Amino acid sequence: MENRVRVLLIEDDPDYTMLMNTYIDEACGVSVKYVLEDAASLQGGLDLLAREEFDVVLLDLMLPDSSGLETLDKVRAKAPGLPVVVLTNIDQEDVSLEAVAHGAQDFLSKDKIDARRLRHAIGFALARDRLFRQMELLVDGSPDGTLIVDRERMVRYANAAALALFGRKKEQLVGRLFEFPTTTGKAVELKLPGPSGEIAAEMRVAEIEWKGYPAWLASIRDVTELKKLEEARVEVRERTRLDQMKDQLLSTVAHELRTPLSVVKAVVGDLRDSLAGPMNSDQTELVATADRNVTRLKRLLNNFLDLSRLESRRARVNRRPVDALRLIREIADGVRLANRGRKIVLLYDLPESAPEAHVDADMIAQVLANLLDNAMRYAQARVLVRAARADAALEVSVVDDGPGIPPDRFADLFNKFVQLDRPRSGSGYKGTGLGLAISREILSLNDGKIWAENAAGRGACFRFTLPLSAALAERRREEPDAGNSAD
Amino acid sequence: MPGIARTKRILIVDDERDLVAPLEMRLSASGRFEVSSALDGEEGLRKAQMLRPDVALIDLTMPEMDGWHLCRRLREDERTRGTRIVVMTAWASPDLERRASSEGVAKILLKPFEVPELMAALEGETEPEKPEREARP
Repeated sequence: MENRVRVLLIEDDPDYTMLMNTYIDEACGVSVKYVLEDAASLQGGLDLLAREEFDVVLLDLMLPDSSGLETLDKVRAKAPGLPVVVLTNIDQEDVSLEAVAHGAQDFLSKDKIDARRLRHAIGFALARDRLFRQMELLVDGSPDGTLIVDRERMVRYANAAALALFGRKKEQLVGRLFEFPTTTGKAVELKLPGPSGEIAAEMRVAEIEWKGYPAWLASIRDVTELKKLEEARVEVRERTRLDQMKDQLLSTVAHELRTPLSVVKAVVGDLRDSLAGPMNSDQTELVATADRNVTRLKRLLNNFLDLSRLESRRARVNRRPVDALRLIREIADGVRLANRGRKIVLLYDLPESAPEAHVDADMIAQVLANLLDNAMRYAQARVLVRAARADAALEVSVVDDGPGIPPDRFADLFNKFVQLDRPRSGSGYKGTGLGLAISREILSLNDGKIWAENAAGRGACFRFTLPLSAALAERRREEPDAGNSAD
Repeated sequence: MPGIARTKRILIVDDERDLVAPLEMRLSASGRFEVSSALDGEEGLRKAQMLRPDVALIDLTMPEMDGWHLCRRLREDERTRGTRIVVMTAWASPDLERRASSEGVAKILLKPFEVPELMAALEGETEPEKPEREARP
């Protein structure tokens, strides 16, 4: 279908109108047909604009009922967005430029018009208009708020995102004073009242030319979420720093406490062993109590320092192939010896042999001692140590027949200073609440795992895994880059 | 053969007077040691040069001349070069052992220590396996 372009000519000189009609006919081509209607006054033109659809207006600014830019303004007010080409006389160069700045798409000098120029001017006006609309669509649809503010600080344009950010209707923003600073170069933070709480926005301002005049282009972005995220990040960083300071302080205190403790220990030891003279039975009992508690304090400090060393990864991990079954027997024998006189049996259920584990033997000994110690404290009659191969690891379990773990305590069982209520009292032995936390750290440093469950029937069951040397070697062969530093 | 061994001369050097006193009591009471003490590094060095002890039991953290410094001075002086050095400290730093061995220290005692540990360190015996594991009721 042919492309019809409907042209409205508003021109009071009838000769010129006739001439233009000729040019228009000449300009018509195969692909484009021009249809011209004309009016001899502004009012006539406005009437036509009200009645009919046009694609472009050719406008003489000097009409009987209007003159100058006012003519243009009235046409544009009647048909906003319709491209206008201004027809000018030779001596009206300034007015023509101003007209373009005022929204005309182009101007044509009357004395230079011919069919070709007319066709070009109309085509150019239509293209320019299309482009302009497209750009407006682009800016208007932009997710960032865009405002144009003139040098009188009047808002001349606001896109949809800007209206949404300011929470205003177009007429509440456009044509009003802009109340924020238009500082170019650096981002300015705005606080805007949003429908659900304050909106933090970042505004950047650039100097531009708007319709021929210097103006500011303000680009505004909602950074509320970003700010929240950044605040959270800062808070986490600050908390981590405070945590480290606190850990450092606690570690210093624990170290400092060892000096006076060593004094008390030495003094109590001398008394206990009657080095300062014989004691009666009451004195002996009191000193024994003091001695026990000095030992307890020492254990607490040592455990605490162990844990802080492990947590800060300052602990030296000396991993090598270890006969885990032998290690289990050694530690269990020690625990058995320490608990002789109590009516609790410590049993093994160990395989004939097991591949070597790749761990720090001293550390794993500590884990075993912790778990066995715990089990002996909670057991009624029996503690069982088991070991069995599970995939690429050796799984060790320590099972007691005590009251078991209350279901609501599983979550924090391996946290610092968590202790279950003890079923027995009077033994004088109390845990430090750090054993399981230390065990977990140790196993993590040794590529193992530790967890707890309740044994079938009754009692608690703590299990941990130790990686096997052979499995580790195999993995290294498969991925030669997976260096496992054993420091 | 501790029964027929001669008594050993021990020099305790620690600015912690409260610790020195009960240690002296303990060691003297054992009958195996002849004990002297000093409350700072300077005094420790003077007494060591004079007494030529078999063992110097030195605290690492002291004002002025600290334990490390004293160790070096004892090693440098031919009168005290043969003295066995045992150090005491409340601070277990990761490089403690390495530094101790490079300073010619025979044994480190971590405060607070147990009597058997102390005795073994002073006698120069290999101590019983892991005395740290104290599950004694």
